[in-house]
Amino acid sequence: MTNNTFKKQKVMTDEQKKTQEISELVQLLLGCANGDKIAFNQLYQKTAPRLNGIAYRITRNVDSANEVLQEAFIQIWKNTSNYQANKSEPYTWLAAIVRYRAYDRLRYDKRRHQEDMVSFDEDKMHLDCQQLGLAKHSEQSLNICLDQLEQKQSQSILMAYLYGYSREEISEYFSSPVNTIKSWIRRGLGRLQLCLSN
Amino acid sequence: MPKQLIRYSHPAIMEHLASHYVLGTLSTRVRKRMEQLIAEIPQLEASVNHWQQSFIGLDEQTVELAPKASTWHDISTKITRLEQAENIAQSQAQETLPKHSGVTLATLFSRINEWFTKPHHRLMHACSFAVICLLSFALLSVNKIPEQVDPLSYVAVLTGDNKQAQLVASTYGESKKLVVNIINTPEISQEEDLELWVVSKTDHQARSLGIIPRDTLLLEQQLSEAQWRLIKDSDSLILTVEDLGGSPIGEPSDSIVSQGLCVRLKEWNQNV
Repeated sequence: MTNNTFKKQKVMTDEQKKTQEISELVQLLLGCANGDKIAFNQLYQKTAPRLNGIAYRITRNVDSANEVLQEAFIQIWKNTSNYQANKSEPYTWLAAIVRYRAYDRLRYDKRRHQEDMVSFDEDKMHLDCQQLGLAKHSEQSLNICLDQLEQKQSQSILMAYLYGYSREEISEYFSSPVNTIKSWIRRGLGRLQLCLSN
Repeated sequence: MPKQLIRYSHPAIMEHLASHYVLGTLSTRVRKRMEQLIAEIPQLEASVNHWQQSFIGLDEQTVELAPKASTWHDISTKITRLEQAENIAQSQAQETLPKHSGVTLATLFSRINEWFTKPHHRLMHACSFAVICLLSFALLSVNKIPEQVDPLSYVAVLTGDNKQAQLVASTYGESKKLVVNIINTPEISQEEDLELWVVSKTDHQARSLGIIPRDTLLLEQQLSEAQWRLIKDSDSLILTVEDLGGSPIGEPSDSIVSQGLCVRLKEWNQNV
């Protein structure tokens, strides 16, 4: 068996795994929509560690992350009837709920603002990007497109998305006016959109 | 589609809103509004889904963190309580409505009816009514209620980069009216609008006072209570160029064309 064939088979297996996971999550969400609490518990067991990781990435506080996860799962239970498998992949839907609750929590707390603004540095961002697979999986379209942006544009976008930094905080970090940050993000998103559509 | 929603149907506005929503840069207040809009506008929902799917790779690679053992317990307890509360509310709604309308209200109406239909009660009621009318008339004639005068008023002269006045905005405390004299505003394209914002001196956030209509020299606008509170807390006014229909995200754009400090005029009415 050549390397290429092996690689192709491995990719197929990964894709199959992903398809299977999507199918399972959709089934569990449908169960939740019908009031099935066992399905809800299974959904929690399957996704909570990953979703809690997202909440922690944004809040940087274990207690806050767990509270965000709690709020998010209550929202998930209430809103599963709104989930439509033809519009969004299940994990994307779940992760979005957690992220938005985490952003809200962060804005509400404003707990970590000062300390994190001091501790944030570009090396850390670079390291995190590597951990997140941005450097390793350069074949992914998002990574390719992010690479094509000006560094400050991509960095501002990642600071907002990954860590929930507000435009004011990003402005403080770069020592640039908020309006400049808004322009970087707007132009960055515009170019990202163009690149992704190509 | 309702008129308010039409402004959001512009593809550029939807794209802008959706991308910033997904990125997390909208304020909590605007995000709540967005969540309503997403439920109302399918294209906006599609755009949000598209951006979420584009960025999901970042979330998929995030390091996992096992939740606390108590988290699931807290979730299930809260859901059970919510369901119990809903059940109680539903059963109360079913049980109490007929009781009130059928028994309690019926009893009340019968007693009122009884009060008015009995001859001696009818006489007492007529006498009481006459006394109240006479007292009210006497009080109004003797003690004329003084006019309420609100002495607060604010004015802001908004100037552009060339320091030339572009518009003058005045607010009158008594009537809570905003009057804008438009002197010389910059030209804008057909796809744009000028929007007036009040910047709070408390939190330095800008909040909209509305769009300045085209080809208008004098604009009079009745302020709501909320807008009047904004005026009372104002630091300055700014005028920005926005997409047609106004800022879709409830925040001013970068292109500020005119600005000016709000000046509070004390006891303006006494100096007239």
